[in-house]
Amino acid sequence: MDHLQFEAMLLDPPLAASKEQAALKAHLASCSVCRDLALALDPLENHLRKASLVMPVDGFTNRFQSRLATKRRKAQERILVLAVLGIAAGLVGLAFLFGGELVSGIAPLVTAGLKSIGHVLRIGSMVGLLGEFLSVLIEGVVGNVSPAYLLAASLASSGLVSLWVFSLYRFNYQPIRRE
Amino acid sequence: MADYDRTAEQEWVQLALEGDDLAFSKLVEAFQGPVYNLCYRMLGDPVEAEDAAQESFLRAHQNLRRYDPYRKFATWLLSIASHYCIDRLRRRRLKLIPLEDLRRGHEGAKPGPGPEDRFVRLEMQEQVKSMLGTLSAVDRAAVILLYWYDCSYEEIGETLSLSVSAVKSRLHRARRDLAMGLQFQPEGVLQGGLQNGPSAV
Repeated sequence: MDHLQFEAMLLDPPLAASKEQAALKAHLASCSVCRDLALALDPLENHLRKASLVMPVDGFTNRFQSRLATKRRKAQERILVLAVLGIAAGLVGLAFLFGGELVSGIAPLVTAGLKSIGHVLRIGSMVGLLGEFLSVLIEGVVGNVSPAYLLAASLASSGLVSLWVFSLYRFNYQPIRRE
Repeated sequence: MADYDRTAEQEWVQLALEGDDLAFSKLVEAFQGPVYNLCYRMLGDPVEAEDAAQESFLRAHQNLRRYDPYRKFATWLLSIASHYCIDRLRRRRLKLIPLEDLRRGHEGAKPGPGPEDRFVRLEMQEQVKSMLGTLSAVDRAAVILLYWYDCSYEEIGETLSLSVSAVKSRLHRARRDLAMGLQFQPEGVLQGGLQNGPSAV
């Protein structure tokens, strides 16, 4: 056997058979490098095995729970921001591609629908001040805001609502229960 | 490894998979010691070790569906922690480490029972830390898993995604390097630690 094989035996003692152990002893008597290695290995093994298991500061689990909650919240916020940006980009794209057709096709319908709601609210004067206020408000919006903006606002609102519903489903939100 | 009931462990894993955070907290409670110890031995700093251990548990929570119930949960968890610490050590190489960080002792860890015992313990921790600090990240992880967790070569290979022969050769090299490093230590450094050292926990 050569020097490297003896070194391997020293570094992996359980694998060495008794016959090999005898050869190893003979090699150790003649090889100072292996002898020094053997002399250093024993204290090394003892030292490493005797080093205690280091424990974290108390409250590790509580710190984990709060970290988990923070991470979830951040993930939700990130998804929300991404989705809002996506919806906005989509709206811009839609407006760029089909803006003219959409406005000319849908705008009269939207205007008529909002006007009808205004009429219904006005007719229902028994609802009182609230109805009066809403009808004035809608009429004001219809009168001053362009139909394209109204369409965009309604699409964005519906997008946000669907995003909220999606995020509730996605994260299966469950508050952390403490012991 | 911490004494734990494997049936209870599987039950907690199952409940955690169903979304029960309390069950996952029980797993954290049971394995915080081994995971923190691994991170501390790998990184050599209590603050970084706490952060790495927390992050390892977060990753475990996030990837719990990928856990194979036929494997030991501890092995899977230690695998996540080892890989995270190895990555962190590799990233750390790119940054300069302030001298104060290297000098900083083990202030964050749980103190021992008495001042003398604590002193000996700290001295020993420092010696072990400096010895492990000479090894590469993967070799260090293999040595830690062998000496502190009594893992077999197969388990170390599974944990570090290495073949058994690669584990053997890494451990051979690491032990030889550590032993050779010891030969150049001042006389009595280790002996003092061994004579006064506390028994293994």
